[in-house]
Amino acid sequence: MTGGVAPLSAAWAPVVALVLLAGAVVAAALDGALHSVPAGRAGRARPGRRRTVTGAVARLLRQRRRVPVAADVMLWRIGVAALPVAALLMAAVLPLGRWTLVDWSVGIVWFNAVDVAVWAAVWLAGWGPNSAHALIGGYRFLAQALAYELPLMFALTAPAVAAGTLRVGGVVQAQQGLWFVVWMPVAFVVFCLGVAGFSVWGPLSAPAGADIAGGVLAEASGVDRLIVLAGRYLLLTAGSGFAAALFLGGGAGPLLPDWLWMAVKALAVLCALVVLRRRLPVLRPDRFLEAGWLVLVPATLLQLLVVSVVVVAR
Amino acid sequence: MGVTGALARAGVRAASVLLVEVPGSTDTRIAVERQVRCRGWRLAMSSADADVLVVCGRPSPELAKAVQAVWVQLPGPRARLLVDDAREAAAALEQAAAALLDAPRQRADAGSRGQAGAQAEPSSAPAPAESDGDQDNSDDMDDMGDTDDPGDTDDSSDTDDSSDMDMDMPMPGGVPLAGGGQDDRDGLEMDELTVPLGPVLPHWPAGLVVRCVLHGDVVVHAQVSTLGPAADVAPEVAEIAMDGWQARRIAAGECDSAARFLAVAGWDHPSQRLRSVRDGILDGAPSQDCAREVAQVTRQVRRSWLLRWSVRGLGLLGRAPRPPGGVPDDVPALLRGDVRDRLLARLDHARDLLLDGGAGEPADPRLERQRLDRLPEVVTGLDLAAARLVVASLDPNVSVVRRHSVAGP
Repeated sequence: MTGGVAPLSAAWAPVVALVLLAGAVVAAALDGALHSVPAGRAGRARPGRRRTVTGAVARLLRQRRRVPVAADVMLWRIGVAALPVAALLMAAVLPLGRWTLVDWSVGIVWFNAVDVAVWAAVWLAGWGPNSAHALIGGYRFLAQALAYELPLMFALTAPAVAAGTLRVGGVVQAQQGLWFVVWMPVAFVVFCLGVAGFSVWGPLSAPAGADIAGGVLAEASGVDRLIVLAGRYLLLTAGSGFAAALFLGGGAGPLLPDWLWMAVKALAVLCALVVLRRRLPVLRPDRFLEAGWLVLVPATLLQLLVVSVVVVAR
Repeated sequence: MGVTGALARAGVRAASVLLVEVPGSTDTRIAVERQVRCRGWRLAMSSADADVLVVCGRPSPELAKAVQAVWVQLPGPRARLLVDDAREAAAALEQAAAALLDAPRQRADAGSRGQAGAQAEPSSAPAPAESDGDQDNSDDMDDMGDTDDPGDTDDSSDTDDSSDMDMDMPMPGGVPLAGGGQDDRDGLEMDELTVPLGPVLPHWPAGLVVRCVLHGDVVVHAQVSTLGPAADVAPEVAEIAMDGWQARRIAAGECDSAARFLAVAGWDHPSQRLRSVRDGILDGAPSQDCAREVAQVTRQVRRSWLLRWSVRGLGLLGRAPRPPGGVPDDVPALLRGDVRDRLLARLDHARDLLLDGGAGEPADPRLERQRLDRLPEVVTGLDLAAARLVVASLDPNVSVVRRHSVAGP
C-alpha cells in the first residue's frame, strides 16, 4: 500500500466496469441531449423529441447483425471487442479516491501501452468488413495516431517526471499542493487531444467521419455497432479519468470525500469533451499530421523541458 | 412478449433513417428531414446504420436499381418508403414506425431474404459495367455480396461466416480483387479500386454519381454522371405562398447546401443552426431575423481559423496562375476560390436574398452545368476527405442540369 492508495481485490473488477459504464452512459446521454437542443435562437424551431440512451441501445439490440461479403469476421470482431476491453484495462490502474484495482509501479506506462493497443483495435474494425469506406477509416486512424501518439507520450511523461514516479497513485499524491494543470497546461491540452484521438472523438473523429459514410462504423450493425459505440464512450470516460488523476489533482479537494472529487473532475473533463465535439470541425487527417509533428511534438518537448528544469531546481 | 415488445418500442423511438433524394424533390427531402428530427429519429450515415429507407420523389429505373441495392443492405428490422409529396412526410414516417413494430411482418421479411438472395446471385455476379445504377453508398464490394451472404440472415452463426473466406481465392465472395494500376503520384505501384460515390450517400448532391478510381484513398480518376427522376414526373412547381417566395426558396436552398457542406466537414453546430434557419425561412419567419441569423453563422464560419487551416487551398478554381499564352479563365464569381470561399459565397448570397426581398433569379442552368463539369478535374488527385469537401462546395443541382440538357441548350 503506497501513496495513500489501497488496491482492491480482483473481485471488485465488475464494480470498476460498472462505474466506467456509468460514466459512458452519462456522456452518451449528454451527447443525445445536445443533439435535440435547437441550435441558434430557441423558440422558433420546435425541439425534437429527445434521444435517449435506452432507445439507442434497444434499437441496436433489436437490429440484426449484417456481415458484408468476404468479411474477415474473426479479425473484425477482435477489433470491435478490443475497444471496451482496452477501456477497462486503462481503468484498472486508475485510482478512485483511495481505491484502485491494481496499484502498479508502472501505471502510466500501462495506460500508454493500452492506448497504443487501440491502434490495432480500430484498424481491425476498419479492415474486417472488407469495405472501401471502412478500410479508409482504419487507415485514417493510423495516420492520425502517428500524429497524436508521440505528443501524448510526452504529455504523459511530464506529470511522471514532476512526481518522480510512474505510479498513478503517486502522481495524485504529488499534486496535494498544486495541481499539475497549473504549471503544465500544454501537456494537459495535448493529453485531452490524445484522449479524443484514441476515442475517435470530436476533431479527431475523421476515421468515423460523415464524409466516408461513418468510416470504421460504416458496416457495423446491431450488437457490433453497439460495442464499438460503447467502446468509444468507455475510452473517452477512462481517458477523462486519467486527465483528472494526472493533471487535476485526482481526489484532492475540500469538504467532499476523495472519490467524489475524483468522479466530479473526471465527469467535468468528460462533459467538456462531449460539448466540444459539436463546436469544432473535424480536422482533415493530412493537415493534422502536419500539426502533430511540427507543433505538438515541439510544444510538448518544451513543456517537458520546463517541468524537468523545475524539478531539478527544486 | 413483454420484454421483446418494450425493446421494440424503445428501439423504434430511436430509429435511424437513410434518405435518398431524387433530383427535383428537395422540398420533400427537407420535409422528411424535419419530421425525422421532430420524432427524435436520426439520419443514418450508411445502409448498415439504417432502419428506414426513405426515397424522396419517384426515381428513374436506374436510380431505383441503386436504391434496391441499398435496400438489400439494411440489416433489419427495416422499412422502406416512397414519399412523393412533402405534405405526406409525417404520415409516411408514422407508417414506417408501425412497420418496424410489426413483428410478424419483420420476421417474414427476414425469412424471405436468404431465398431472394440465392436467386439474385447469378444476375448480380458480373462486374458492374458502365451503368451507374447498380451501386450503393457504402462500398462497391458488398452490394452484390450481401444478397448471398449467409451471415446476412443468420446472425448467430460465426461458422457460416468463415466459410466465405475460403471459397475461391482469386475472387473472394465473387468480388474481383483490386487490380494493379499504373504508378501513383509518388511513383509507387498501387492497387486500383473503383469506388462509385453516390447516388446514395449522406450529405451528397441528389442524383450525382462520381465514379472514382482510387489509389488507397487518393482519387486518380473521376467520371461524373447523373441519375434523374422517373420520366413522367413533372418538375416541382413552387406554389406562391407569399411575397418574395422565390427569393426565399433560393435562400433556403443556399442554407441547406451550406449546412450539408458543414456536415461533411464534421462541424455539427453551425450545420444544425443553418438547417433550422432554412426551416424558418420556409415557414415564413421574418426575413430580417433569418438574415441576421445567417449573418451570425457566416461570421462564425469566417472566424474559425480551424476550418480555414483545415481546408485552405482545397478545390481551388480560377486563381491558379494562367499558363503563358493560355486563355483567361472564365470562372463565375460564385465558384471562384477554394471550398471555403464558395461556402461563404453561398451564405452571403442567402443573406442578400433575404435582405433584398427581390424576386430572386431561378438557378442558372449554365452555372449548374459548370459546377458539374468542373468537378472531375478538381477532384482528381485529392484524397477522399478533400474530394467530398469539394463536391459539397460545388453542390451541383442535378435537377436543373438534366432538365435543361433535355430541353436543349
